[in-house]
Amino acid sequence: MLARRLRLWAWAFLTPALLVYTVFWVFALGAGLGLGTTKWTGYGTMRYVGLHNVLAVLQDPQFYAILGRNLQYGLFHVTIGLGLSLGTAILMDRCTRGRLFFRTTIYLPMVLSWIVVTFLIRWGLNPSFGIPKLLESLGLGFLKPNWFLDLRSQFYVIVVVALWKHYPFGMLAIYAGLQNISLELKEAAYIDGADELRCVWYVVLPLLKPIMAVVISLSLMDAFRVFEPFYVMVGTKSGTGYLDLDVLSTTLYRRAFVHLTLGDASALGIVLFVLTLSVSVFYLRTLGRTEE
Amino acid sequence: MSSEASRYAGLAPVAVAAVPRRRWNLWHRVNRVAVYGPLIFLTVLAVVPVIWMLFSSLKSLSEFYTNPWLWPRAWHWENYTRVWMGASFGLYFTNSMIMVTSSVSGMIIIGSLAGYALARYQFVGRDSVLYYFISGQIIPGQVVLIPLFIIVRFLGLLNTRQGLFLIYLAAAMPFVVFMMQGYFKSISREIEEAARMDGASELRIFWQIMFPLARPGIGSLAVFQSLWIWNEFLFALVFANKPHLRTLPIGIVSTIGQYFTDYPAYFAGLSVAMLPSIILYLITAKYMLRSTITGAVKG
Repeated sequence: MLARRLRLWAWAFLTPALLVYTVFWVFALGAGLGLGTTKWTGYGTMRYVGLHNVLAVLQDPQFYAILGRNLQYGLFHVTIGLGLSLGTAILMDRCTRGRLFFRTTIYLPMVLSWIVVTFLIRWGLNPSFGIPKLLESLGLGFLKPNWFLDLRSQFYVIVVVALWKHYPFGMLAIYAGLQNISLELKEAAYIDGADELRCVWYVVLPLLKPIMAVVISLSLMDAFRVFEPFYVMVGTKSGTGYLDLDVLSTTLYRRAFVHLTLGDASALGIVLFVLTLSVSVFYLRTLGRTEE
Repeated sequence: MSSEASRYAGLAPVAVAAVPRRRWNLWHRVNRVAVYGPLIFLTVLAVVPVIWMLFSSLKSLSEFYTNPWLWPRAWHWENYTRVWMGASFGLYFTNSMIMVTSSVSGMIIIGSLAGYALARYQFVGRDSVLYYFISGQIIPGQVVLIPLFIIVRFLGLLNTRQGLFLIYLAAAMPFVVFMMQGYFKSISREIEEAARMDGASELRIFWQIMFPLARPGIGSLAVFQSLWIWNEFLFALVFANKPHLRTLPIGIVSTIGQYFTDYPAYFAGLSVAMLPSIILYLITAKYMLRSTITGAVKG
């Protein structure tokens, strides 16, 4: 009797969360996949077109230019970003004084809003008061290029700032992993004659592999989702000016809410979903392997 | 003898005697520069943009152009009143506050109820329900954006706070339920069973005993979610983009440009958006970072 009563309570406790989550997240995903097979402007009649939209996305050469940009962004994160995280984590692990101070300040960029940060970059690069002006006043005017003005270089500016903003997360995760490696293991390596570099390479890095896999997967997922900096840099203006700074999510946003081609946009959403899904499968598999 | 050397002398007198003291000190110093140099550099890199923003927000327009990088010679606090009243950042700030407090308390309440049920009760399908929640983590917001737009419009909640509130709740469920379930699992069962023996109702056990016991975990979870919603842009842009509903990130994007080149006022606007999150972060950093660390190790 008691067990049955408790079971009812359990379902009662679960109901609000299940309801909201199912309607506004899981059902929405299903509806999105369905919408991808239609032609619709959001009003009027909806026409079923099957896989036509998805195929159209996959045959569009512009899609590959856009995807390439997301991948490039991701590539920078899993190479330079990961290296930066690892290096800083190792330094943090060595540091004896002021650990909390360094940890707190270095992690700060993570909690800043992308919108604010993007405006700060935009103005930081403004030729009449930003970094170019600073270089000029320091007598380094020859370093002052006009390159921030064209969109292709703004892409790299965004990438660098994104590295600055995101590497602290990887740093903190790897740092946590470092703290979990027992001192005895490292001492054993030193006693066996390993120097510092070898100890890092042969003892520490292999033990960090699972955490690195987590950081890599999360960076790749972020690379497919990134939206704000690109949105703020170009807005949703039409014309061809934005093409060099478009990524998957800004394209999706424009197709859905500016051009009102909901079917096309949802098809792009399906592709985006498949991409992130494949990253998470990789993530779960590496996790599964380490748990064995 | 320096204090460092004497510490080692006590441990291993032979080794200290073998290595000349000066060389040891030099190596030690090089080592220290190699560790602290980069750390200090990265700290500066993290802090300078924020300081630049704060300094710039307090300058007059003419000083901003002549002295863009150093601290202001005269402090113009009225830049803040100009954006707060004139550019309605006061309204945006209030809207952001309303969204954060309502959504975070809502998600904590329903998420902890679900997490508690999953951690403490035996029923068929419990693990499946947990996986059902967790797997939502891999759905990107962009993918559900368009269908959500249609659902919310169908419910008549487009451009209302309720619509955005429900979406934030749903989006947060995978993470909140998973974390809460973990917190409740780590609390001992004895108190709860004693209360049940005494005839306390389940709701009362949850609300008066278990929920308060999970408070440390709930605190850091709430801080995380507050920072997320305070900075959230995409959903707010699509679902609450009317002047009276705009949150700070949307307000910034839609306001800037209106005042032409009043840069100090713009910077003041950015500071209004950034300072609350920085302050919340600095107050709670010690605990929050620790819970990230343990979370990263577990996950």
